[in-house]
Amino acid sequence: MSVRYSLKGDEEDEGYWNQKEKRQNFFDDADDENEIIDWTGTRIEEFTGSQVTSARGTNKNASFTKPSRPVEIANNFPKTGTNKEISSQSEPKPEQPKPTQTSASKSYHKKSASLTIGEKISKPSFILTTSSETVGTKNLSKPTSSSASSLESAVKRDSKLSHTEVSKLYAEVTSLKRKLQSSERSRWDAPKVSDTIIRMVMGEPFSLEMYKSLPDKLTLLDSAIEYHDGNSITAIVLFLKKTLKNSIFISELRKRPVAINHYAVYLRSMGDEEVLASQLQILGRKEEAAMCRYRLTLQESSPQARYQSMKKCTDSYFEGSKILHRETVLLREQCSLLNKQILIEGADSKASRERKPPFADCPKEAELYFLPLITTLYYCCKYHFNQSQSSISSPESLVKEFNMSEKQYVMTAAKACANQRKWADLDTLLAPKKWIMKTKKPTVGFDRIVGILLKAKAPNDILQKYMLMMDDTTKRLETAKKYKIHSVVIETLKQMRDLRGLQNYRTEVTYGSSEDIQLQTLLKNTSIKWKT
Amino acid sequence: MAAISSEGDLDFNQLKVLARDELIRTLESMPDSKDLVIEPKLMKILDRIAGAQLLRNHGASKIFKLELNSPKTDSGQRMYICRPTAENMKVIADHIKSDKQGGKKTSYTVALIPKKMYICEVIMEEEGVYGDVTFEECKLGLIPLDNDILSLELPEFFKSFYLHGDQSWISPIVNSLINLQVIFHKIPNISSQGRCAKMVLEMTKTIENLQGGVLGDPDHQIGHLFLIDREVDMVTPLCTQTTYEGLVDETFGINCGYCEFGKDVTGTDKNIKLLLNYEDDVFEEIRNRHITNVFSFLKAQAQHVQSGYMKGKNITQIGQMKDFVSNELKDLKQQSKSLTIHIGASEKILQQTTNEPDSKEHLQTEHAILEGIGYKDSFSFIEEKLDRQASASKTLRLMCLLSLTSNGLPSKDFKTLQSHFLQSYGYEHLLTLNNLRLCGLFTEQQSTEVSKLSMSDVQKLADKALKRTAFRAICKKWNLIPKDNVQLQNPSDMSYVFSGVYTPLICKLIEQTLMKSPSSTLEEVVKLLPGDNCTFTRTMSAKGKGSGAAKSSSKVVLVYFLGGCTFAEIAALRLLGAMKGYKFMFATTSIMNGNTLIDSMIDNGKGKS
Repeated sequence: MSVRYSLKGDEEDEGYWNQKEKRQNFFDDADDENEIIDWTGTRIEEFTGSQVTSARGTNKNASFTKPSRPVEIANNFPKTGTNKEISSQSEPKPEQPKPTQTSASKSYHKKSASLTIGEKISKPSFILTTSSETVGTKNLSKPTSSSASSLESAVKRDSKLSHTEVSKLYAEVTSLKRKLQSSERSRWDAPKVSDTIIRMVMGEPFSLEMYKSLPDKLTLLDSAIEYHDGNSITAIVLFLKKTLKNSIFISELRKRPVAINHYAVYLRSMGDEEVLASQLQILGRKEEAAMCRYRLTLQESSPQARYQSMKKCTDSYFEGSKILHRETVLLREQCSLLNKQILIEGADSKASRERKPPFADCPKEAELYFLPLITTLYYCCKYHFNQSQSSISSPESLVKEFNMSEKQYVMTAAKACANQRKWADLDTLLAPKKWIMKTKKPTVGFDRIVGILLKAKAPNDILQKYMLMMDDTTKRLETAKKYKIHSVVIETLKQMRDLRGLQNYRTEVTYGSSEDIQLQTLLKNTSIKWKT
Repeated sequence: MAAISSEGDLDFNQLKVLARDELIRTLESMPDSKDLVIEPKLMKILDRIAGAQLLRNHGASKIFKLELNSPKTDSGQRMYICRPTAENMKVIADHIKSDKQGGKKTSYTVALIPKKMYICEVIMEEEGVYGDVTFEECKLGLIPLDNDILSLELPEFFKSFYLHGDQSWISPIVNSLINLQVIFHKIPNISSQGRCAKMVLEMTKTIENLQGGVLGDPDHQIGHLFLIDREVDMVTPLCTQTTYEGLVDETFGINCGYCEFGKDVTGTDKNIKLLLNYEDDVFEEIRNRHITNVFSFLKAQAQHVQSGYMKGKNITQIGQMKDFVSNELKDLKQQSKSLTIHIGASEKILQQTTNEPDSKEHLQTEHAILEGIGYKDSFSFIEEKLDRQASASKTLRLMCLLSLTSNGLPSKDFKTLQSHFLQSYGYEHLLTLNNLRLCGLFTEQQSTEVSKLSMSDVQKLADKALKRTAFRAICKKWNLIPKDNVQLQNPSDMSYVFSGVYTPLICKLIEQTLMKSPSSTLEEVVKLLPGDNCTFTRTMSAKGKGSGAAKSSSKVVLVYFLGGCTFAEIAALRLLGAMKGYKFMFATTSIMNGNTLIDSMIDNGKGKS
């Protein structure tokens, strides 16, 4: 429109005043290519914490458009190194000369001189613009007054103005004032979503308060998810939670599993599992919510209260769910175990107080509550081994109620017998009759029984007896040698018809002991066909 | 930046110096003297880079552990150094509130390693102490644990990412990667495998784009980067490692390079804490050896030391004596001290395998599971182990291994092991099994009713069937389970780290990628691995073209494990490097083993979930 407007800076500000629709905020520069170079490398230090930022790219593809500015990510490294690194990496743009200053680059802006105020007030408008340029956005009120005064003087100076011209000028002044006000207001407009997201990912200060429209909020969330930055996702989810009606919050979150994950992580870290469970429930993660509820019941420290809340939890959150069918069964088992423990403990602690059998000689040691099923079985084997099956605390009734395997029973009972030195009971337990009807092989291998006996530090004669029942001779020999059960070694070697081994073993045996005699007799025995 | 030492290794010391500088900067952000309150988990990390003296030189007057109760001190300034967790923030907020009630006037700085998370501010705001606190970021990323190992020391990462889907730690990982490339220059070749690796790669690209540096750099000191998810191979961490270093980690636990040996190992009446790295000559020699090959070396070394002492006894001339005392005696003493401990430790390890009645059987079962033979025997061994209430975590390792190698257990077997486990260790471990299931470690094969299938279901089923046999297929294609006996004394096959039974999958993947095996076989296997695979080469920046100066560095390979790595994998790759002329460097979120993995999954309802 006029030559004067080719002045640098002037034009920039002119654009500023007039492109209200186009430029939504101060952070938002027009789109010219030169900026990339401007913002890259050379000016890195001015950027840290600076208010001036370039918004680049659209929300969706902000990451892959163009490099827009350096990042203080390598802040803890020597500045020089970082700068060198980045400047050497920056993409040269041969089609345009590299400008040395921001202002230089501005000259490439398209002229948009729609300002109709004309040459006559060009001076005030120049003052106005320069001051806003240098002082920055915060001090915009100052130029208003200065422009008003200088406008007046301009008007006075030119007394030859026609009435229409004056009124035109006044109209312009009002219009300028209005525009100034609106731009002051626009300080509180939301910056571009893409810009804010990048600030968040980079760990720079940001504010979400300005995003009032739902699409903006959702774009924020979706871009954070696209960037994979958990910290930003959490921040935005919490912002949505705070500013959206619950039903909208829930329905939007349900569409975004990653967001739910981060919301759950947040709630979990806040330690309020009650809230976590109920939120997961509404968010459609019923199974996860149910497990949370279950976890809560475990916080109950009194057995009766835990029993009640566990039962309630199973009924209301597990029962009926097809996916949680298996868990429901297991939870019911846990409930009945706790119930059983309450019953046994009630009877036994009474008996123990009154020093009645089986606690006549030794009072009960610990409470039974919350112990695992196998430990409970051990307890029953320890104190109630020979009770009839109808008795509530008999091991048999427990095995039956919980459908335990024979293996589980035999091993636990054997451990109880061994630890209490009840060898006769062990005998009956392991008597082959019990199994013969079902299977030919014993349920529990004798190597396991020997293992239990060894752990219980059983006396040698008992060890001997059961060791000899081990089927696997190699293993038997190995174990017997390791624990120095000589007679078993000798017997096994005999069974293996290993003359050499037997002869060698003589050194291990004390001269003149019963084992030595056993060995000597064997060596003299000519009826054995030794292996060669 | 000259970061290559004479042998062509990368100089990780530079990282240590930078970490120290960052710590000093953080300390100095609060001028004058102040009390330090440090999260216990970070103590060892700070030890590795600084030590108490450095802290004191920069204004630390008293040093406390971060505990529930506020430290009793009158100092007017206090700095907290901790991870950015909600738990820590709540504790600190409580300290501040109780100090205020007590009328103490203190200014607080909270230094967060490695970055400030949003929840930190949220909690301080909610607790009403936001105004009392100055936040500071202490950007400690990768800590050099050894001359070839870097670690973020974030053992919680595996659980938080793979179980809870928490992506908060992606950004610190990305930053560590970018910082590495600032020091060692842009890495030209990058391969990734897995979903976390993909996220890290994408975020790195985003940031590099913003910084304007996506192009390759001719001065690069690392030729190839592998970003690999732990999830790609969960079998390896569950197997019992058989190298010395791996076994020391599984038996005694190595924490941030430090290992504490008990009285039974040291042979004295106190525990000894030893830094295990390349500076310990004896350890450096045996760390990668198969355990059966350790004792002979230690014996020879002990004799050598003894003869050294003998030499001292035979010296008659004063001058020689002086020489001996000033030169050799110190070395000898150092060596004999380290020898004592390593002999003690290897004895303890061997004892464990002989004394525990079924440890031999345990190992045999483990091997049978890997080889895919004798499923029934393995199953009943595990069942009996459960019924005997043997060590829960060891049994869980076998259970998970059985499930992983068969890509999920048949429904009946799954239920049996599930209920026996719960009956032996308590039903509340339903939470533990649930965690394991969610991480894919202990799963049930899905049974489907054939009659209700649609066409798309058939396709899905076929995919599932493919996945079901995935582990076996991969083993077969890449010969992960060697058919012949593997030399354990002078190993020439990576599988020696598991006594020649299994080659760690990730190591094989790296070998195949580097060796440029025919892309068809690589693709076939990669298809079966979890997550996406991505390989790309950076376009070189203009000035780099034509300069072939960086040739030696193209043999330097950085492997970044996301979710942790085992010493077995490190040993296997060290061997690969020695055989093929590569120099492997390792970065990881933490060093892990089967016990730490299983322990992190265990939840019996007590404490935090």
